[in-house]
Amino acid sequence: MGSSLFLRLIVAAAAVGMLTSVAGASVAKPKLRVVRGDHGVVASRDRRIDCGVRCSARYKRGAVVSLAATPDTFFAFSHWNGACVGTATTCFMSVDGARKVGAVFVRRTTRVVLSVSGPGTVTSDPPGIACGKGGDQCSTELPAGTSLTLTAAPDTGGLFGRWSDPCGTDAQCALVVDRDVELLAAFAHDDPDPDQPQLTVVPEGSHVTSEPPGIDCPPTCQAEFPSGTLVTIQGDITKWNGLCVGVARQCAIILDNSDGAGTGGPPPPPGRRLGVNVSVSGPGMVTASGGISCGRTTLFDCEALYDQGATVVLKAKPGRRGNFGFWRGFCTGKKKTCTLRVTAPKTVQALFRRRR
Amino acid sequence: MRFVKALAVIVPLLVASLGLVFTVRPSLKPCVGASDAEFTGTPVFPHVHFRDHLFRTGASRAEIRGEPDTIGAEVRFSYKVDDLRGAKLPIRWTLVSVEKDGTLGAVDRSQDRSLARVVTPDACSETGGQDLFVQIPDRRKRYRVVLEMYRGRDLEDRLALAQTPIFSG
Repeated sequence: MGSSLFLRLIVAAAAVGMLTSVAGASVAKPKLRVVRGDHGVVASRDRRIDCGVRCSARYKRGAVVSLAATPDTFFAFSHWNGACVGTATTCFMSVDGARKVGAVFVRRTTRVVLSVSGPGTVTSDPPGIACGKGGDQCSTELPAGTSLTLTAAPDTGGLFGRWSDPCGTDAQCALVVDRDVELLAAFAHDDPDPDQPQLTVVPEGSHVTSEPPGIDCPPTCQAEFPSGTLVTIQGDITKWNGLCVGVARQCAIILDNSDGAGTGGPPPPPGRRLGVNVSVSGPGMVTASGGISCGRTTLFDCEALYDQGATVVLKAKPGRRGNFGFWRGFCTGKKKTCTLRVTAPKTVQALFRRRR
Repeated sequence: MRFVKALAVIVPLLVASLGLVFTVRPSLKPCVGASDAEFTGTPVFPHVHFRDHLFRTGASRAEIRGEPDTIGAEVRFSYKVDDLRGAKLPIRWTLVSVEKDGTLGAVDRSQDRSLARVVTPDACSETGGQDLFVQIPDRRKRYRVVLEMYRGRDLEDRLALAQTPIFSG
């Protein structure tokens, strides 16, 4: 009797112990649940949670779990909510009770920046870019994954040359924008200057170099290249002006005409206009955009007004029986092209010699 | 009597309104009087470095760095124009050498009625000025600068002429 009672007590105690143990186990292992996100996955370092697939797991009370949020393509992790707080992609949390965690993903924004050189304009579909001679909207922000079509349209007297990678030589370039893109477009002239053209860079506190080498500005801000050379200039610049338009760090130029590119911001606003005066001696002419076409027989075409700060490229063209001699005044040297910055009213003389 | 009373109210009101309009928009004020233009001062400063001239006229460091540092003369001219609102008035300069006996010598071919700028007054009476850098071809010679203001692009209607004192290059 006594031993039977003792046995019963042991069995009862064991049963209570087991029940307590089971109940205790369920209380000691709280559940961590991850709310499935729309555009990414959340996984624990121990791989017990991989949500997408497995979004909850039980952990020993007080366990420290490391969760990492990984966004899908075109998306970025924004922030945690629930038991995790913050914007870091990894969250360490102590599972000392049932916990719920969510991760918020947002579509990334990408920036497309361009620089365009020569006689033409690049436009985009969806709209947002009109960059070149016809506009200075040279950057746009788009949701990642957007299909973007860029169209290069030459002006009269211009030909489309080429894009930088990943676009090619077709005038139209279609791409899916999945990250920040920097594109260069270069137009050429349909009537290129057969002479060795000169490239001039006017730096505004920036340092500009070129590929192929030649420009290392300052101090070397002028260089000659064979006509038609693709010259890429680059620098830590905020905006190109002059021959190049745009905000990319580089600008590709098909150098088939002497011209100048400036850096550091938009050209000075039209304000004071100053005179540039040319005089010619001997058989030849000097021309420049803006109205100068000066030979021995002209008078008024030997001067023109330009915005203060503008860059003027003067070209000396010898007559049939002449050779170009040299420049004097604010232009110097024997090269047929002179680039002049209109910082003051200026006078320039070109001397041509009769061929013997 | 009633008519006079009405005029006494209307006329001051009209005058006040016109005064207000001309104060707010001076360009609407009619110019009364004869057109006139004159240079009111033409002091000349020889032996000036071009870069110093640019610095004084507000050019940026980058602009100054890219310019030659030639030596010339700076003419700080001022002018006054009356009743020429809206007219385009080119200001031109000529560099003339001065002979040893004080008579005028040859005109420098490259600076013969060179265009400095075009003034377009937007008020009935306007004053202004400019610092003009003149290149000197031969520093051993003496020169003077002649300033002219014309009406329009051609050289037929000269409104003002002035010359600087003689200076050595």
